[in-house]
Amino acid sequence: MTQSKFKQLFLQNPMFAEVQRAKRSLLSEHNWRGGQLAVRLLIAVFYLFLLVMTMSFVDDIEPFLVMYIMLGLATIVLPSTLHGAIAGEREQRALDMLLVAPVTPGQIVVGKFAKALLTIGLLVVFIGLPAMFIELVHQSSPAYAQYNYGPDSNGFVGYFTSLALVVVTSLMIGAITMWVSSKTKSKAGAMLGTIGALFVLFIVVPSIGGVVNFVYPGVSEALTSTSPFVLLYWAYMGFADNYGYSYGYGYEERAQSAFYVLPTMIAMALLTVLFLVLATRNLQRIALGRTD
Amino acid sequence: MLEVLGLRRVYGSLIAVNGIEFALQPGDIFGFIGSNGAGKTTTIRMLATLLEPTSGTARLNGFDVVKEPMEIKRRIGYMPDFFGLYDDVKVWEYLDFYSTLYEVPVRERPSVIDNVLELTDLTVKKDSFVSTLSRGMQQRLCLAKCLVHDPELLLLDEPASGLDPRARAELKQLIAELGRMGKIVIVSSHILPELADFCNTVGIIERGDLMAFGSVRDVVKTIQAAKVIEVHVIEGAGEGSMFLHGKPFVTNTHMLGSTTFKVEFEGTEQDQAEMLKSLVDAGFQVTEFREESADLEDVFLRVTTGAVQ
Repeated sequence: MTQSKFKQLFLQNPMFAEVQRAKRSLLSEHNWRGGQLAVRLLIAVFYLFLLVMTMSFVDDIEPFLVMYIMLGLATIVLPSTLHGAIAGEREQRALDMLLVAPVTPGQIVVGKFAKALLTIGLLVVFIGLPAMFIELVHQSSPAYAQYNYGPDSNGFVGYFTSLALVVVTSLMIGAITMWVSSKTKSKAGAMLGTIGALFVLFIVVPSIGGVVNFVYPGVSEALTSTSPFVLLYWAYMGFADNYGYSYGYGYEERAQSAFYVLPTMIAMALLTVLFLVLATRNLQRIALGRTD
Repeated sequence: MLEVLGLRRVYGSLIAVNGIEFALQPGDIFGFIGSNGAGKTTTIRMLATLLEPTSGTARLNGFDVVKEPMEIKRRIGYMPDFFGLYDDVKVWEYLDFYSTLYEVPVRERPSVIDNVLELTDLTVKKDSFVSTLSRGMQQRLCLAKCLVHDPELLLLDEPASGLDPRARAELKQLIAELGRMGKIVIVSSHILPELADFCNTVGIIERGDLMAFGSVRDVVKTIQAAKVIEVHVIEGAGEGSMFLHGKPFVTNTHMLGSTTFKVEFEGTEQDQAEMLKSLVDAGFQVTEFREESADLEDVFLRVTTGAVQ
């Protein structure tokens, strides 16, 4: 990527106004009614429940469980946020007006994707920070450190690795959603397509890997590791063997094993870029009328 | 200046637009007339950079639609035939979003938004949600969006479709005002009375071919080989008709009633005056003597066959 292209996409991209528009839409009283209000109240209640549980049972809650909640939310929230990015504009017949504005398809995709960054940022603040709080409490408690098997996780190494894993996974989910959205003409189609793609990637492929692994141990770890839910456990608790438990390994071995997830994270980051490039290409085709 | 140079678009074996050519000057309001499926929207989409021409191009003040689409986008405002607006934001927020996309300087945005709202008569709706606007208001908001960057060319595809008569009249006034502001406005429609009132240039397209182009008067003239003059007399329409039959420049006469007859005439205005004088000198008491002018509808029906692709 040339310097000017980088500048055009990330530094001087007028499409970042999308974030402002999303913020206005989110805060507008128009969306604080009916079903929207009910969903928002539900989220608020859920979040309060999470906070109360965290504070009340801080000694008993494993931080990685909170990280699982964060990952689970990411797989729901990101497709919900981005599935209409392009498909919704097409469905609403608003895309033409965007395409005649002096912005490139790449800028549109990056601008729309910026909403994913906003969403991920909110997840990190609202879910990641409570998890960090638990981790801090655990690490500062000698009694807890001595509990049972010694440090029961990879500590801060595990926390930050798993946080990075959730963020990278969220980015990839966002990029997949953008790609599916650029391929479909309706929001519902984009949502279903994204769920289908994530189901294949996170459930079907790792399951096939699990079966193959069961028959031929050690052959298909790469397949199993396409599931961020498996990886998250490894990152936080330590990768021990093919059965995924860590007990019996020393802290250092487990801390090092947290980095076993790095190759997958790099692969996910590359997939993120790939899906965004594919979404841009699809939008380019739409912009030139090469598709109906 | 807009120059359309051999613009052509082919879909498989179908020629949607067949190498059309025309030129428009600032201030021109160009009525693009054609049946549904004649090629109006395809042409407009090519001019808007939303469709790649199979061949040919167009130039707006020297910038090429095919080679310099980004420069063109900065200079045009496009209103599609069917469009949706972001309905969960307020009117001014919607315009603010597009002002940002069109890189209107931050400091100027509030005044630009106020100006376009005033021009489109939406000032009172500035803080309303887009979803609460009527169809006519949404149409005007879309037009306001097209104006935030002060474009040189406006492409309005069927802008009056679905509007009530009042909204239609308001839109016509607005488009006429834009023409007076020196913008080139291309308005497509298949409803002819919509265009006849305020367009100074028209083009008739059928099956991708531009069948006629020019000022409304010139286009009407080209299809009207002979003038038709309707003459009313107090009595003796039959004699009057006979009297003029065979006179210079008179190609035919028809009786319409006991006091009215029609004359097909190929002479100049001077010859026309001479003919009237001869009628009066011959003792016919003429109460009305007027040229029947063809209108756009006549032209359209004459040059097109009604076939669509």
